[in-house]
Formats: sequence, C-alpha cells, structure tokens
Amino acid sequence: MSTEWRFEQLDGPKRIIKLVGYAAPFGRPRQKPLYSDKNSLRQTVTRYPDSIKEPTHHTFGTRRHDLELSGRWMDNKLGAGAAAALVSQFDQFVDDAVRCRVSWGDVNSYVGYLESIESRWESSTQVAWTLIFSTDSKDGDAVVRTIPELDHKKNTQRLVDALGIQVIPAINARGGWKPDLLDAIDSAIASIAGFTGSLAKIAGQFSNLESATANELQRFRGAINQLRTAIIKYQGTIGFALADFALFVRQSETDIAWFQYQHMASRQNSIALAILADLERDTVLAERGKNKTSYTARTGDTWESIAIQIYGDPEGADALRAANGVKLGVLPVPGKKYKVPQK
Amino acid sequence: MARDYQARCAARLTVPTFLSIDRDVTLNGSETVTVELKPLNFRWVRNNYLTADELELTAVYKDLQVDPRILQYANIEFYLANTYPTGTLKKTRENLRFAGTVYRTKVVAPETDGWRVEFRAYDYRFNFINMPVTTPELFPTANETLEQAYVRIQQHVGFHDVEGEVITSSVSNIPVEFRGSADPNKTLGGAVDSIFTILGANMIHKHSKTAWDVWTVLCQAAGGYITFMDVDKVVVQDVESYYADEVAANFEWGSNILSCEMDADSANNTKGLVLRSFNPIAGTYLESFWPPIHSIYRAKKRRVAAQDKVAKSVTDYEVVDCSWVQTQDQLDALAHVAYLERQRENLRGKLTTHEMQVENILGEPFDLLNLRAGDAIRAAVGRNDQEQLILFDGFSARKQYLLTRGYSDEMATLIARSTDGLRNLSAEYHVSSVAIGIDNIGGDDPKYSCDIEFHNIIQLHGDAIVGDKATSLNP
Repeated sequence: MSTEWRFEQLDGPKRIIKLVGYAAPFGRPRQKPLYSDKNSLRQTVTRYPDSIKEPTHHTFGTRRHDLELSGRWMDNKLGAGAAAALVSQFDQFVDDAVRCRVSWGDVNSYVGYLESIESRWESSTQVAWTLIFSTDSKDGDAVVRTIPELDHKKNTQRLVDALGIQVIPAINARGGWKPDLLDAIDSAIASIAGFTGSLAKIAGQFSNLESATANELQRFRGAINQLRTAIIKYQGTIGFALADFALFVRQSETDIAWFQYQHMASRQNSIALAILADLERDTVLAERGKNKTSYTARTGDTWESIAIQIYGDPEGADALRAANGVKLGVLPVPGKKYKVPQK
Repeated sequence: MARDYQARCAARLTVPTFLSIDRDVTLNGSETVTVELKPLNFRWVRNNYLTADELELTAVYKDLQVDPRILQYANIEFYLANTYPTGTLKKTRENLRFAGTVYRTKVVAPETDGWRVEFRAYDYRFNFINMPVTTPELFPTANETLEQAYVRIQQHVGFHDVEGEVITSSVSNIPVEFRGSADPNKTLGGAVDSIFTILGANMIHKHSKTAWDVWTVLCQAAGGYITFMDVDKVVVQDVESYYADEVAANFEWGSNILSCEMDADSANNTKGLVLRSFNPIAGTYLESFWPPIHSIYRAKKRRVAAQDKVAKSVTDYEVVDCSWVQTQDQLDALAHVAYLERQRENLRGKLTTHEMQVENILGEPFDLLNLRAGDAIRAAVGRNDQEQLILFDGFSARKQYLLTRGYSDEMATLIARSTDGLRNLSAEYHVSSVAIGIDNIGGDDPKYSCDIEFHNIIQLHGDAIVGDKATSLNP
C-alpha cells in the first residue's frame, strides 16, 4: 500500500507536490493522529418551552471539517536544502489560492483549498510544519467503503511472498555460473530466507503493532533492519555483476537468461524494500506512541533530540529538563537514566 | 407526528438583456438569460391579498460576478420544500413558492465575509400595484365582462414605448384563473344601474390609485369576488369557496409555539368601521358606516382643512366584508355592535414556530408552507387557566382556584370577575401575514423560522350584542 501524500492543484498553475517517507506528515499512535477526518451534521434542534414532546430537528446537510497535517522536514533525512525547498514550495502553493486535491495513497482523497502552511524553524536544516487544508468534499463521499485489513502480519506475508521466488536460473547447462558469484548469491539468498523467517516469527508473536510491547517492537525493527541489509547485499551482488564476471561462457541464450534473472531479482528486491519501509515506519510510529517512563541518554543526545524521539517534537525539552531538575544549557549525560514525564 | 425536516430551497433568475427593458419586458426568447442561485439566506413574506408578497434573498456573489444594475429587473422564481428524508429538492410547480420581479439588487462585501448579492423582490402584483393609473383607457366599460376587463388592464400596465407611442405590457404573461363559482363572463355593470351597462359607461373609481386597486374593485363589483396572486397567476374566487375547505392550523404553547406576543392596543380602535355587503342575486352593494360618516366630519370640522375632508373620510374607516347580511337595517345594527365589540376584543399578535408542518384542529397534517394571509389558525397560549375557570361556579370559587395557582389577590380578583366576559372569546384568529425564512443556510448554524402575525375575529356573542345576530366578523 502506497502512503504517498500528493498535493495537486486542480486550477491555475496545476502544481504537484509529493511527500513520502520522512517528508510525509506523521502522528503518534494513541496520542496524536496523523490527521482527523471529521464529518458532522449541520442541524438545529428546537425544544419548545414547557414541552415534553420530542424536539424538532432541522437538518441542512453535512459539513466536512478542515484537515490539519503536521510533520518535520530535516535535511539530514531528505538531503541538503530539502527542508527549505519544501517550505518554499508549499508557500507558493498557498499563494496560488486555487482549488486542489490532497490524497493519501489510495486511502483518502479530499478537494478544497490549502489554507495555510506554518513552518517553525528549529535550526537551519530542520523545520517543523503544520498545514491546514480547508475541505470542501471528500472524494467518494457517496461510496461506503469496506474496512481494509491494516496489520503488520499482512505486510509481512506480502514480504514473504515477494521474496519467496528467488530462483537461480538453470544456466549451468549451457556454460554455468562462475563459482565465486554462485557462492555469493547462495549465501545472500540464504541470509534473506533466514531473516525473512525470523521476521515472520516475531510478527506472529503479537496481534498488532499498537498492542506490542516496546521489547517486541524493538526486536521486530531489528529483524527488519537485518532483512533490509541482506536484501541490499544481495542486490549489490547481482546488480553490479557484469555478464563476463558471472558466466564462464557467454552465448546469446545465457546472456538473455542472466539479464532476465538480474531484472527479476532487482524488481523483487525493490518491492521487498518498499514493504520493509512501510513496516519500519509503522513500527517507528508505534514505538513513539509508547509511554516511556525513562530514557537512557546516548552520546550526542540533546534535550530537544530526546523530546523528538519521545514526543515527536522538540517542544517537550523543557518538560524533560524540569522533570529531571536540569538547568538550561546543561546537556544530558550519556548513559544516565532520565525520567520522562507524561506530556 | 414526526418533526424531522430537511428544508431545501433554490432560486432561478431570468434576466433580461441590459437596457432592453424599454423595448420588451415580457422576457421572451433570446433576450433573457437564466441563472441558478444558491441562497445563503432568505425571508419570504406572504401578505394579504391587497399587498404584494415579498422575497428577500441573499446569494454568493461569485455566482453572479456582474454589475448589480443588470439584475435589477430580473424575474425570480423561488422553490422551497421539506425534503425529508431524501434531501433532494425538485423544482416542480408544487414546490414553487414565489415568482416575482426583482426591484432592488444590492452587492455587499462585509469585512469578515465574502461578496454577496441581496435581492428584494415583489410578486407580480407589484407590477399592477406599482403602476399608477395614468390613462382612462385602463378602466373598462360597464358592458365588458370581468375577463375582458382583465385583458384591458393587462394591456395598459407596462412601459411607454416612446418610438411607437404605445404601452408595452409588463404583465402580458400573467394569466387569470377563475375558481369556484367566479364567473369570467360576469358583466361589470351588474352591480350598478343597468342604464350604465346599456350606455357602456366607463367604470372609473375615484379612489383607485393603482391598476391593482381598479382590478380588486372590479372583482368586488362584478360578484363580490376576491382576487389574489397565486405564485404566478391572478386568481379570482368567490368568498364561499375560498373559505370552504379551511380548517384552522393548531398552535399550542408547549407543543409548537417558540415565542408569542399578543397586543390589545386601543389606538387600533380609533378608526371607524364600514360593513359592506354584496347581494349577488340583486347585484347590489350595501354599506353601513359606524360612527355615521357625518359625525366624523362634524367632529373634525374645526381642525381639518376643507380640502382634506375626502381623504380623511377614506382613511378613518376600516372596511369589513359582511356578505350574509342582506338588508340595510340589519347592516346598520350590526355595524354598531361590531364597532363596540371591536373596542372590547381587538387583539393583534405574533407567534414564532420552527415547524414546517403542524396539525389542524381535526388532528390532520397542515403544511405551513401553504399557510397564507386570511387563513384561520388556533393559537392557544395561557388558556388553560381560563378554560378551567369556566368549570367553577361563582366569583369566590374562581378566585380561590386562581389563588391556589399562584396568582396575586388583585389579579385573581380581576380575572375571576372577567371570566364570564371572556368565556365566549375564541382562540381562533385570522392570519395577517406569514414570514418564513432560513438564515445562514450554508453555515454551521442555520436557522429556520416561521413568524405568523394574526388578528382576532370579532365575536358578536359578547356583552355588546344587540338582538340575536350572533355571528363573527373578520376586520
């Protein structure tokens, strides 16, 4: 499932902005939703003086409320100058003052006006932003959708399916693989199979990400990282191998078979990496929602960076300092355990 | 009865091409453009048959980005219905509530809101009412029929075409419909001396200042008919059939009255009363003035300039139709009684409801969108104690009951002594006007309301009754 955010102007310059990955809006499970989609009746209710009868209802249709999206653009995640560029693009989008559509993958899509973008600069490379979208209508308002399955097990199964057909083609009959490459490929595929198995096993240990313990989430994220490393290693092995290096004897048939294999494996790896990115993002969001009561500082931590990890924004830094009796200007001591107040 | 409503409204403008108004206001063919409006709020007022209905409507300006002068002579159609449960309004004849001419267009840009256009429109009666009688050719002759008279008036209500030196009718597309026993072939001269009919004399009425005045007087003269505008056509109807199927809508405090006020103002009693009766068989009119017209002249002689006398004599009397009385003596006696009773009973009031439908006094559904001036309603406000009091015999028992209900000693005495006088007064009233509106249709807090102004029907059962002429009058 794609989670890309797309902002598309329907009139005027018809600009398009896409937000994916770390550029996309985020929320925190159980604490701050990604966004709220509110639809309410426009209704007046009259209760007559001295009346014990049912009240009179006048309904005048429904009203879809504004959407508020927020997130953080950081150059260290998005590339140099990306935060400033995104702020500039959205400023222009608001200035254009034309009707537009905002869509979140294939989940939801709204039509209205981008009313405001507020950028709060935390440093020259980091911007916290809030966007208000004045909603006129929701695409498919008249269509009642069925509730889709949204669980990590399904994504894990998709991942297993995507990686399950890594078959080395029978090139040996016509000249064979060079042994070194064959060993490397075998080793990479074995790693992938092993890490996929452990990921699936951990995924089966909890019913959903929100109910998982912090320890389970940490292990799950570890398994995701291991599998990702294995896939990238496998991709590196086959991706950069030239036909001369891979094959003993080069014929047109073996060349075709090799390139087909290369192409198919790369495609499968891309799909697997995309699913892993989804899984990791869901896991990170779930981890942020956990109510931590303490935090052990690491080298390089600041109160702001700890606040971002725990609360999702740096505004909690003051509360952290106050809860631990630390004065302004004193940095956290690596290895020391600090109290985390509930915000 | 369910009280769930989905009030939906829509409006349609038919706009003549700018400055074509002198050439042709009949809105034909390619000279008009139709614009659909989405109202932001509206107020629709149904007045009595002598006054045009009004519509005030506000729409979003972005729908109408034009100079407001272009729209000021547009025709407007207004649709309104309770669409529960579908929420879909159909622009059918049944849902067409108002049709008329825009007489004022105003563009406003409030500081905190977007551009809006405010329209004010009168129904097509306004075209007749707004047309002063400038030519004697507008008056039909005594040997013409009512239908012919309408055509004549229609032809002479409009705008002067300077080039052709003719009048271009502005009401040529407004048909006339005869309902009940109203006869379109009735000769106008039937109510006057037959010699005038034979001579084809002009039916000039000296008090008729507008074309609508002329038409209403002619309808009364032809057969005691009343005439009114039903959305986009002129209707002529006999009084009997007009009131025949009327069952009063029922309003009760504690059920469907949101607020109410009643006003007994003696200043309303200063006018004289003239009862008027038309005899359709004899084709004659009877009139009776109380106080007699010469007594008013005498009283005012000292202070009123001579040239004002005629005008004062018209405005100082309130005209009441009283067609069931057929002799001059009876009418004179009734005029005196009615005048005295009016002084005791006269009451005007106003109530507000948020209902679109109520029950009539038989318990059947009554659509308030069809309520019009002249209809009967029952408005029961604070009458429980009054009705209870009648069950007690004697002043002491009534006063004791009132004291237990929490009234002060003085007020209990006053009410207990007045009970016999009030007991015959009905809670039925006549509607003076109905105003229906919705504010802030597109906003978060839309409000529907229906304001009904009413006055009482004078009951001739009270202390002032003379003889046994027990009946009622609608002032």
